[in-house]
Amino acid sequence: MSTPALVVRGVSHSYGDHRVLDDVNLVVEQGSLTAILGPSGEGKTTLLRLISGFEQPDVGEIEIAGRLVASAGNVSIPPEKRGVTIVPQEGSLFPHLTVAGNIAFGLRTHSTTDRKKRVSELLDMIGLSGYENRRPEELSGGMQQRVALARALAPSPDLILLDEPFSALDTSMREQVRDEVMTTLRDAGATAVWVTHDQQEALSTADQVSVLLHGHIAQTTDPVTLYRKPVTREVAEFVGDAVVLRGHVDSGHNTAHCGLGNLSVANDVRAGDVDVLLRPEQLVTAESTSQPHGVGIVTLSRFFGHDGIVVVRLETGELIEMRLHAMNLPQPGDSVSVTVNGAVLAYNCL
Amino acid sequence: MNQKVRAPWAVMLPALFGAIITLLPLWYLLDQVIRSGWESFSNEIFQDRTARLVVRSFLLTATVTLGSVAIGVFAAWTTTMTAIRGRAVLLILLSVPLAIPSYLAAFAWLSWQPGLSGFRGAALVLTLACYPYVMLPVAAALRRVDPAQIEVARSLGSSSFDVIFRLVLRQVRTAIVGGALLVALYVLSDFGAVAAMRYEVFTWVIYGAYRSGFNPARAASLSMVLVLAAAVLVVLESRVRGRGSMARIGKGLARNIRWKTRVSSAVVSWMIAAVIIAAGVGVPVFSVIDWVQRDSATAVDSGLVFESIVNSFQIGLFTAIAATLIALPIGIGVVRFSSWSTTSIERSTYISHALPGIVVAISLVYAGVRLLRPVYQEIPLLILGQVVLFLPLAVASIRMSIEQSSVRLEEVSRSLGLGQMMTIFKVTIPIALPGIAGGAALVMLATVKELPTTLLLRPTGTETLATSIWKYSTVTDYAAVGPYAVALMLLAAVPTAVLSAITIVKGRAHST
Repeated sequence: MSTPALVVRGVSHSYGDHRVLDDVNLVVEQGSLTAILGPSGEGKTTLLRLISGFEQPDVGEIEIAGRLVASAGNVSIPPEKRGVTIVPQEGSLFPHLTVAGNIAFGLRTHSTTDRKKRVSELLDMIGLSGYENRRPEELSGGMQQRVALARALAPSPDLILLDEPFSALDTSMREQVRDEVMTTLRDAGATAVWVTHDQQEALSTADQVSVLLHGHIAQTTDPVTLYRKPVTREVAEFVGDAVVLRGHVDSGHNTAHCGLGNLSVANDVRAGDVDVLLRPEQLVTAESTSQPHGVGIVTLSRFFGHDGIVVVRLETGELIEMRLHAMNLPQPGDSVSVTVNGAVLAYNCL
Repeated sequence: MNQKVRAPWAVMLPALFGAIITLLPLWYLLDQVIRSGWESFSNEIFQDRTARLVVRSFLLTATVTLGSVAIGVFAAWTTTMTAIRGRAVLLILLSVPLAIPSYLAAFAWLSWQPGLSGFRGAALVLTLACYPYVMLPVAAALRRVDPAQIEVARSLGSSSFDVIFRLVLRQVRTAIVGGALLVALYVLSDFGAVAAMRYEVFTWVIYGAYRSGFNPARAASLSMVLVLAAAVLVVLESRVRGRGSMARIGKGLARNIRWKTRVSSAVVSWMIAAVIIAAGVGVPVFSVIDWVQRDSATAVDSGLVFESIVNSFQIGLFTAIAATLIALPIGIGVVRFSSWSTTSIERSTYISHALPGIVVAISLVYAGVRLLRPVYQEIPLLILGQVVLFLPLAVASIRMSIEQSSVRLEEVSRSLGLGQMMTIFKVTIPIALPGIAGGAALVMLATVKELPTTLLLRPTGTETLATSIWKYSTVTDYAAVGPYAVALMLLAAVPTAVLSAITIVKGRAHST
């Protein structure tokens, strides 16, 4: 296996007394896209700033393409010598330069012809050929973001860091720009790390997702594993909607007993009292032919058009939320039978 | 949240050099005071006439500053926040007094109203000359006020009076206080207007002490009081300025807000503005026109007029360039590498701004004789003197424009492989260029208008527009002053127009 593009080893960072990052570890392979997923204000941006060299870690070290660039106390390679480019949230195009000038900014050592060639290559890649001489303010937000990406790709860096690159865009264009950016990154064979607080964005586009909670990396894995087997209840609830029930696991069994009967457990869990965690899409109303896992009374029904959400009170008194097709959406007071699809997650109670 | 970055030597050393230059006069004053001893110093300071001087100077400074703030804020408000017609024209006309030197305005008023002199005359002329220093930054700041905040405040039940005084003016407080500081320092150091109006304040007495009796010890002691006053003002300003940063989520477009203006209040606003313009621009312009039409005792030599224009222009241009080059590292240092040392350097440049030009001139003569003999009584020493006086104008303007540009851009540049210095040249400076140019224009304007330093430091026989006006005005040969006054107003009007244009354009960029 080739040298990883990025290794973050035991990094901690504080602003004054406030510890923002605590023992962060992360490995990013070359040519992969890694999303750092976490709520706002939990140190995601700080991690990017440490990697790009605008902050120095208090503890730990950072390696880029096999080269030590930061080590608490003694090594601090300046940002311009790290081979790491950044795409800030707002794009931050240089207002005094044209589109071509922006993209060529990091290509100072290239000859004029090489530079021109590279710029038109990149404009082609982001679908903005012919925009060379436009000014940044003449471009839409999405176009600006693509130019900012091209600018970061231009010097073929070892690593590209993107800080919430799509959150400043309108919802209507966010998905489209995101797909374009991700396709461009993949086509260019670039290694990228971006931070986001959008679970869907991380799960749908990244090769690897790293969940950053309270300044600590809770889990780093591929999107499917992350969604199916989150290591803690907090991670599970952060990466997707969840229904939580009280339950119990007997020793020697990998089933949990709860308000919806005996359910098989997907993850490792010790015997004892557990929180049983289900995804709303696992819950369906039972067909008359099969044996339901439980029955309950609908207390709330909300219609969204193509589907709807109903809240059901189980016999244990617990409330569960189900996402159902809008056809024949049960109404409050109706009695429904509930079946669970697939294995559930269980976490030992503290 | 940014980590403190130490300023690179390439920024720190030139900034330090700039600070040392601006502190030359202080060094001279201290040397004088120490040499003449504490006793003679305290004798000069602790006596009735000095106390009277302090009171008079304080009265004049306070009156002019308050008057300038009132007029400046009113003018800024009228031209940016109301919906009255011809706002842009009003703004330009209201900034024209920047182009008229205070001594010229004073002589213009005197030739029309010979009875006007003393405190009333000095306060009137200086207020009319100074309010643009408040108006321009406040107008720029008002354009940046988030209209949504105003709407929120209105929807929460605030009256428009409340909104104006509790919300909007609070947000532009920094600009008001900064402008007031410039005005106060200007008044403390002004020589022309008070001399023309024969109102005895520090500058005039110091001038007298140098000129007539040549009593450098007394002049130096009095100057020290002025330095102290300036230092107090600078510290006060940084205290009051506080942290008025704006918090705003998202970056939706800021709409332009215009107060609904009733016809009656629009007429009143127009009338007040017209009175200000008539007094600040009309009187000087009509007096000058009147002078040109009078018969002169001395024939006007057009060659001499032309020579004065060339001299004024050259000195102004070189001073602007030199001041900008020195101010750049200071401005970049204080904003991007904020630390105790860079802040002290920036603050120190303000001290000489409060010194009367005469003190700066004398101290440079002193330094010139000791250290800079080759440039003594040469143009470079004169330019150095002007740089010392007007450096803060360039620093303030550069500082403001760098503060407004995003650090992110510089970080992007660093990540693309450009070092700290390269980034400054390729990103920081180009983006701040409008502010840098604005600062240079301000310096040029001030230099062309400046009188006392030019009088003392110019090479023998060199006449500028300012010295020519002074020469003929003091002997009330107004007819001879005419052409020089016209030339000076035109030469100074050009940078004034540039400045106003920058303010307006900046406002547009923020509001569209």
